[in-house]
Amino acid sequence: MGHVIPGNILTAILCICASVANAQTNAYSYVQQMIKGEVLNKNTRAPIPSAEVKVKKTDSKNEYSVRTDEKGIFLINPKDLTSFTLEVKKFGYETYHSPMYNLKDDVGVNYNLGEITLVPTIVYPPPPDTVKRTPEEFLERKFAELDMLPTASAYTLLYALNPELKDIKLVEPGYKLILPKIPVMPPEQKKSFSDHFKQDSREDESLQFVLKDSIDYCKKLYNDFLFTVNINYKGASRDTTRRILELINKDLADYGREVRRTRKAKAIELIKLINGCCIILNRCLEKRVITYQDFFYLQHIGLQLALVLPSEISRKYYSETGPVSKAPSLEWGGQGPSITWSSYKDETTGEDFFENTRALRAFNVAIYLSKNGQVISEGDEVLKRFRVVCYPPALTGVEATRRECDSPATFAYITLSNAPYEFMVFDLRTGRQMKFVKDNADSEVISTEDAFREFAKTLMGVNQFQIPIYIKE
Amino acid sequence: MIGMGTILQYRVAFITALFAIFGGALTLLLQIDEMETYYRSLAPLLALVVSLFISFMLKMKWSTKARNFLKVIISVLFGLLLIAVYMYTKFFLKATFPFRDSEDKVAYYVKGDKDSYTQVATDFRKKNPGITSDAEMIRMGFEGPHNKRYAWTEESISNNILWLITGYCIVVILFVGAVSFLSEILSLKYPKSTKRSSAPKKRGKNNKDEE
Repeated sequence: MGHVIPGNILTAILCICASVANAQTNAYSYVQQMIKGEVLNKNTRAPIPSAEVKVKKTDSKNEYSVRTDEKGIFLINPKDLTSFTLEVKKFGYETYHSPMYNLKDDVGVNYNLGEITLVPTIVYPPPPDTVKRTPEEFLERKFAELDMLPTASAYTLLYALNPELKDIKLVEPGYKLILPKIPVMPPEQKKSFSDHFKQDSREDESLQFVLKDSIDYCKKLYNDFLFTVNINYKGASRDTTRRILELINKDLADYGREVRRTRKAKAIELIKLINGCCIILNRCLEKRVITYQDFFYLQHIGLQLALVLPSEISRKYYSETGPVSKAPSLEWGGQGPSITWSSYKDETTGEDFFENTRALRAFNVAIYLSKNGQVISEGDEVLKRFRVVCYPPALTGVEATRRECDSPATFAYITLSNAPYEFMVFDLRTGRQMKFVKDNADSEVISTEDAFREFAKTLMGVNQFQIPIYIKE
Repeated sequence: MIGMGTILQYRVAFITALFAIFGGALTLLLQIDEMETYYRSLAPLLALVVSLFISFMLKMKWSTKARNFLKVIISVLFGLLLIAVYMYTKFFLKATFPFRDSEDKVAYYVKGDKDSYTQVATDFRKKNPGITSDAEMIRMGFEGPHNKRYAWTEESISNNILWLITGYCIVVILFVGAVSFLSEILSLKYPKSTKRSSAPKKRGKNNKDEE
């Protein structure tokens, strides 16, 4: 007994097999005849998906478009093509215009156009510093990154932590600097923060939901913004705007995760930031215009988010560029002068929004104690031990002009004008005046000028600058 | 539209308003916050008093001689005004120091004389010989102009304030005087006399007869 396959079924199977084989052969030959090309990012060599490739026939006005796939590959049907040019477009890249291709001569037997590279127009974070610098210049840049005033104490402190720096003439860009440990908060301040957070979760639970809503709303607006292709970019360059919005969106996403994780932390402050962002984006969408002022606000929010979260990408973007200009690489309008933070200083429009007080800046005084060759910035040796007093240099003996930090010792706050001040430190335990490491002096004159290049207040609240004071036992 | 005749008819009010603007403009020009109230209020007040006084003094029958005499007075007043403006500017620069704030705006503050430095200021200048100007001294050693009383004696500062106000008053009085006299002469073209006796319609016609 054998299996007998009915003749008609066998015929059908054979027919199907034959047709599949035929179809495969046809498909193979069809692919073989398509003109192939690959679109890559010129900088990263990464394939660019969804790029629009416009084929323009030179012998007629006909043109049609195809798109690249995930691997950046596009295929063009050579039917009716004799000579043609390509125009490759992708948002965020410069449009590529190819030379004229002749099907017989240029495309070749493989029908392969090869690689087409697009130049990105989006401003990416500046490349890492590759310049060798003198130790002073190198440290100056570090101070700017750390929001630390470049005082004599600050220099002495960093030299004490990195003694080999003194012997180096030019510091390599990748040099790993041992940074001062930021002093811990005194217990009272910790308690104050903790109380705030407890209160936040107990009384303002609704705030957390509002916060989450704000984030979602902002993300929605952001997406709308990006896809509003007809938006009239007035002033700001499209790519720069997009870049800022991308940063904000990324930070918002990071922040959303952060909030979901911590729930309580910094909710009140951050909600202001998010709401500010929402208002601006909404205004841009309504007017279909991004103005200079809004551009400035968004950039500022970007910086604040970078500082608060902090996300690597935006922190790098905003802080790698030196002491004066926090974000100088941002373009403005493509043709105009680039905008830097130093030029924002002249802009009065942003001031009301951020409620800046120009006459004063807030500082926190961080004490670093040098003892037995070690630098101590926390623990009982430092905390609650010192009283910091400052006064205008000429008015040492005038009690009325003296300023004292609001709490003894490290991490105390003080508000100062744009002027030099002479600082003195007293040991509360013994009552004696401490000596500064620099020149073994009783006091040190510190100018607050650098802090006045930055804003006094941000959406997050008061902008603080660190005054390091390096004393010895 | 207001014609010249109307302006001259209400010349006292016009001059007062003019000097109110002058006071405000001068405050903006000199950027001296401490003196702003004086400058703003004194100018229109003096203008009102002086122009009223001049108007009152000149209520008389006009003659060519009197008019020529007035012309001489105006010339002298303008001459004196120029000298007063020069002297006042000179004194202003001597008695004030410019201070650039954190907004990069320059404002002027009244200081004391050089020989009225306090001991603190003298010591500070000795310690810092590189500091050559008072503005620099105030910035580097005294935090800002609000502490200037520690750099100069109160008496010296008050003295300079007094002189600045006096000088300003002299400039305004001379200026108002010159303008008032000028307006009185110009108004002669229209009325018969400064005494308000005839109707405005006849004013133009009778001018010739009087002379």
